[in-house]
Amino acid sequence: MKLSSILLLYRLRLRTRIVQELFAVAGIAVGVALLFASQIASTSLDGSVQQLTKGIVGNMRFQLAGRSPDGFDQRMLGEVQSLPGVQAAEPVLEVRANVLGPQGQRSVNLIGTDPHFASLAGPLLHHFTATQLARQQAFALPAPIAQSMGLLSLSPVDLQIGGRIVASFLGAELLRSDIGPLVDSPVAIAPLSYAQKLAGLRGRVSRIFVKPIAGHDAEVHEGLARLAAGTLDVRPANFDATLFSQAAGPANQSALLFSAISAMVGFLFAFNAILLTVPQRRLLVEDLQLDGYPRRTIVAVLLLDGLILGGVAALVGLALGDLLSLALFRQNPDYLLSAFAVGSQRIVTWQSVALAVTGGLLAACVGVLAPLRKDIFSPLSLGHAPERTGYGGTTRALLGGLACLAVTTIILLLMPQAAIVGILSLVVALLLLLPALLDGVVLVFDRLQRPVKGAAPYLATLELRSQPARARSLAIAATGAIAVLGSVAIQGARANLQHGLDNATRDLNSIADIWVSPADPADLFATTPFHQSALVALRRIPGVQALRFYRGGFLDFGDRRIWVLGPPSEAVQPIPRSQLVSGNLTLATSRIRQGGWAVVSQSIADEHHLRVGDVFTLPSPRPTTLRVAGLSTNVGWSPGAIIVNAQDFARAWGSGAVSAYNIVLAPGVSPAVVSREVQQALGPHSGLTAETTLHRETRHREASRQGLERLTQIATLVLIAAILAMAAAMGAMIWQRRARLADMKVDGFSRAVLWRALLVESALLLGAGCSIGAVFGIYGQLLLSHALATVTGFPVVFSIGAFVAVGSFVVVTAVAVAIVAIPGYLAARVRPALSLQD
Amino acid sequence: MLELHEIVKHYRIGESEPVHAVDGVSLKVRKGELVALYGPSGSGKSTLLLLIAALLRPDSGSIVLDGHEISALSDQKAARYRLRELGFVRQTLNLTPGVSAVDNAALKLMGMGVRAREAREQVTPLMDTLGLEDRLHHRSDQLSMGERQRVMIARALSTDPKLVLADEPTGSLDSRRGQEVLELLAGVCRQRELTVVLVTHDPQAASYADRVLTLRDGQLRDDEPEPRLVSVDAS
Amino acid sequence: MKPLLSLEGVGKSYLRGAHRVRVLKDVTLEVGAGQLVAVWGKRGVGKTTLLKIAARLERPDQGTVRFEGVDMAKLREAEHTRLMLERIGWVRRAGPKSDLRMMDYVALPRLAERGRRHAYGLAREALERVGMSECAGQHWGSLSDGERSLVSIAHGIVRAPKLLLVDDPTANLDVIEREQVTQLLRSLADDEGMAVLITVPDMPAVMRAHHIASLSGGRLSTPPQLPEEPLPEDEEEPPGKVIQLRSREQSA
Repeated sequence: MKLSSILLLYRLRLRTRIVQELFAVAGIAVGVALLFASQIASTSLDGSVQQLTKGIVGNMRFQLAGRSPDGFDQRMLGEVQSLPGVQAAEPVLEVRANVLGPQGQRSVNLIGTDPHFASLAGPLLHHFTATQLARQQAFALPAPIAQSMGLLSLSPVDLQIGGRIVASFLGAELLRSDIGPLVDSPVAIAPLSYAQKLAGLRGRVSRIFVKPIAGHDAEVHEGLARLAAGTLDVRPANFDATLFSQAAGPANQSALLFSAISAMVGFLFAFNAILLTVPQRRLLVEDLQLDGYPRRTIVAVLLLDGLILGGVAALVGLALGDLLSLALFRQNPDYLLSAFAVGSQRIVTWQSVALAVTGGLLAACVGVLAPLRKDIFSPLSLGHAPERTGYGGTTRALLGGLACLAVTTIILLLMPQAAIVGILSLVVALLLLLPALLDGVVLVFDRLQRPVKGAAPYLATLELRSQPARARSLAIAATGAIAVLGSVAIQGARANLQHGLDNATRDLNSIADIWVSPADPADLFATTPFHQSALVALRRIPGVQALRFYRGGFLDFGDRRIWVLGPPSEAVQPIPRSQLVSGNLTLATSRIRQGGWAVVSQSIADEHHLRVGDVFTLPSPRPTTLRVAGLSTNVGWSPGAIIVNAQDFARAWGSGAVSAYNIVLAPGVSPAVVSREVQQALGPHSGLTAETTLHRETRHREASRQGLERLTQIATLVLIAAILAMAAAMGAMIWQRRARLADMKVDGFSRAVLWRALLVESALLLGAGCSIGAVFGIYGQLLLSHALATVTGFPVVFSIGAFVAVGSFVVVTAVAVAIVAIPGYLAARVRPALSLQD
Repeated sequence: MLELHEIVKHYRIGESEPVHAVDGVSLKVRKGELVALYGPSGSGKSTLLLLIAALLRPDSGSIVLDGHEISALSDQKAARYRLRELGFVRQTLNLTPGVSAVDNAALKLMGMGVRAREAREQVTPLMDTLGLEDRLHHRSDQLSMGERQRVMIARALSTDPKLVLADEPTGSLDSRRGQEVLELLAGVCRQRELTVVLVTHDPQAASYADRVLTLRDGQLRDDEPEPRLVSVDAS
Repeated sequence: MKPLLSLEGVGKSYLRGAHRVRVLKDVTLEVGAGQLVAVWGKRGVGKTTLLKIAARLERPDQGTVRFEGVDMAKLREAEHTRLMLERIGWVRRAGPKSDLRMMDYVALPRLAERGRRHAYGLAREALERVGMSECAGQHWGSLSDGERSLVSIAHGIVRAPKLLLVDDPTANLDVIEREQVTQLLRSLADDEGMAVLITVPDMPAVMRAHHIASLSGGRLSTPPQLPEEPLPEDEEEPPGKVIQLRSREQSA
């Protein structure tokens, strides 16, 4: 058949059923949008770091990296350049700086490089030579970042670096035309010598990027390792991206899980919607078959139908998903910013687009073809046999469902790292068991309502027992069940994680009454070193009982950028007690105080096969041998943490710099009052800020909440989509029943009774689906929490989120039924005369 | 029993279609009588039935059943009237799909507040009479058209209505099955002394009535001869 | 000359409840080009089954069905559907299942060939041929029984079939409509040379057939010749609803 004729058939069908078709489009579009938006969210996170790394590194192969924030001696550059096989080497100083603009501040990665070498590097620095900045005492910022703080080019600006505030000059704004998508990255660029001056690190660099002559990689690597001599790291040039993806792993995994659940909810939404158009499509197929059209033509007609439906829906879905990601997923998790430069650019890869479009097309084609497969393959005959929708597959479905549950349980108990597989098998189990469970719920309701007089509940169960409507009813219930399952599992796991993180935050902060640390908001974990000052003035403030030095920093240990904490040994509780998972707290505490011992995160210990009492070498600027005093959670930092005392930290870093003052107050003194006095004593030009423990704890909690917020957002979206899907499908199902409703009115059923019956039916179907989903969701929550605790080592407090479960089930059911009430009311108002017309 | 007095009803379908009307119909039906309203399509006979069922309100005139005026009932009361006093047999066979025949037949009783089990028990003898004794637990989609129509008749008669209205009850059936169904309907109604108003354009159907009234252009024609069964005569 | 359609010794039985009912026993029938053949019989004697077997929409238990000399049972599925699309017009009294305009419905069987313009031209001609041009834009639901019957025939003949099969074309029709339909079927046989096989439940409709055969007790019996009496004179209904049926002058 010619394409034009197939298109004509499509148009003919569309002419009478445009509304159903649009509904189907909407269904698939929502699915595509959910999938696409969650894809963008996860690719943006990784992608922006990769972009930035590439922007700096260009085609450099190796880097010689310092381990301390102070970097290493610049003279190393000459030695690197004179290594045989080195084509080019480029020195870079990287420091965290807080730009203080007239309208707000912004934490940036200040990159100092020598314009002389910059032409060899990536596009970010490449452009740098072109600006007039090169020989000036000034730095450059991406234009959007400068504008967001109200900064103008060629104007003076203060920078807070470490504990100091230094005056500087914004020399240029970098435009998108200069540096492309990096324009959204939080970076500042300055000539190397100027950056060194700003940071107070004269003659120091953080890394040297190296490009070997082709074929001399091994030789150069060897030479670099010799120069590093165990105090510097030799890494691939783009190693930051690797470290980042390790740190962002849990976030990405949760995004992946959500993508999968969104896709499933989306597909069910679409399937519901397409089911609406099935009867009509089936009639057209029968017409064509009776006219003697071959199977090939019929499949072509249906396929085109699916492709148009899926294509239009995919386009709408992409637009919708784009909006969704703009509106909801812009914010990156703040906690990652303290260790990495993460841009806020949205990165849409062709893979995301392809995945979403393919998903949409596939859903449409499967949705169009699958329900009609019997019609397509039945030989030409008149008079169809009554449809077989009986309970043939029930036993098999039950067994399959139980098997899937068993798989989930095995994963829960034995291999929590496969949590995503576990959740998927849980979903499959749900789908397989749903028909039987739904029948059970209807049966129980049927029994319960028997003594009750009144037609409405009876009519409702009558409809739910109706076999031909079963596919639709199941699809509706399954939509609710999966959405609630996903939402309960993830929200519950999130709550458990949040609870665990809150405990860690409390324990970590409670070692002092007032914290004094650099004012940079990105310095969330107190990891920026500064040199001690104003100590005498601070100690003299009334009420201050003790002032101790706290040290902390990030350190690249294997493929992980770990967090090293150096609490003062005098602290009441140097080890956060809630975080110790193995070892004796009292013993471990005394050992930490004593020095030479460390508490190591379980995940790091596992990687390096360490047990309590074992000896290991910390790859710090001055490699230090320590013994394991105990094992802990990851203390909220996904790559893991190591706790030593502040003196050990200073020894390992070879620096007396501190990252916070811990002030302990005399009993009965108000922390708020003293904190204000401390701030005064620091003076207006100090880059340090004082905050009470309470304030600091609140700030930390907010950051961790914000990091987990995306999970809440997606869960909410999935629920909203499910509500809309169920309400629309249910409404449509009711609407198609109007002829029968009219008939019942002729028999004397009043509008009120019919409406009530429709509401009871909806509530029963949706409520059953959602409650089953909630029960499975609690199991899923257990699985996810367990996986978080054992695989990533996050602090997790186990609790059954019954409240979340009951809450989502009730809210979803209630809202969906409330929406269904409208078409239900309209349908119940049908003119009885409709029943008497042909 | 049922009295219609000078009923007038005008209405139109769409915009350009002609106006169908019931134009001053007066009619008395005695208890236990089976009256056929015979007429071609568009003669207003279905409208008349809708009026008697309180599904339409007449523009003027009155309809009295057992001394109760039913032409001006509220929606709620009209529904109650249809549920308890009326049995409406019709051409459309909208059974709830996939549900047993007996449950479909017991629907009206259930609507009156009879408990499910009792309703099923009550309707079973009636279904036996209608020849559905071995079809009680078949799903509605497993029933033939004739059987479906008999289920609908069982539903209509299940409440022992004062008045049975039948609107082209054989319209969906072929003539042989239509005849069977009509015979059954007439038989059961006679046996239970139910009052029946039957609307049809089929002369064969009309022949089951005690009295045949011909309706043409919205008016009863007493002068026209009763319809003859043309095709039967010819063969 | 070989007949276009021939049934030889066709038998068919159904399982009805517990017992087997033999609806057709050793039925033999031939229909040649240009012939209108009517199978007459009461409801439920198996007329429709006979027609379905003739189109291979059902398989006989015994016997052979030949179309243009070819054994229908030996056709492959695809060959059979092609036959139904191009050479056998099965007239569906139930109308289109999907919600189509009559014009679209009639054009449907020819859409496969050369696109829509061609198909619509043929559909217009077919509707004109049965005198239903004015129904082109209407939907099945709004047609009267007589109009439905004629439009269905248009949908059957639009493919210019060799064989037209019509199950009970006169059901639910009044006397005048019946006359129009049978006259049309006769002229399709006479003027277009189609072989037309119809079923009818009662006598008057068969009067225009070249041959009639009566089916009863599963056996087909062919009377030696057509009854010669003219149509029984029914009392003429007042005119006004008469559908003018005029076979269009075929241009070469």
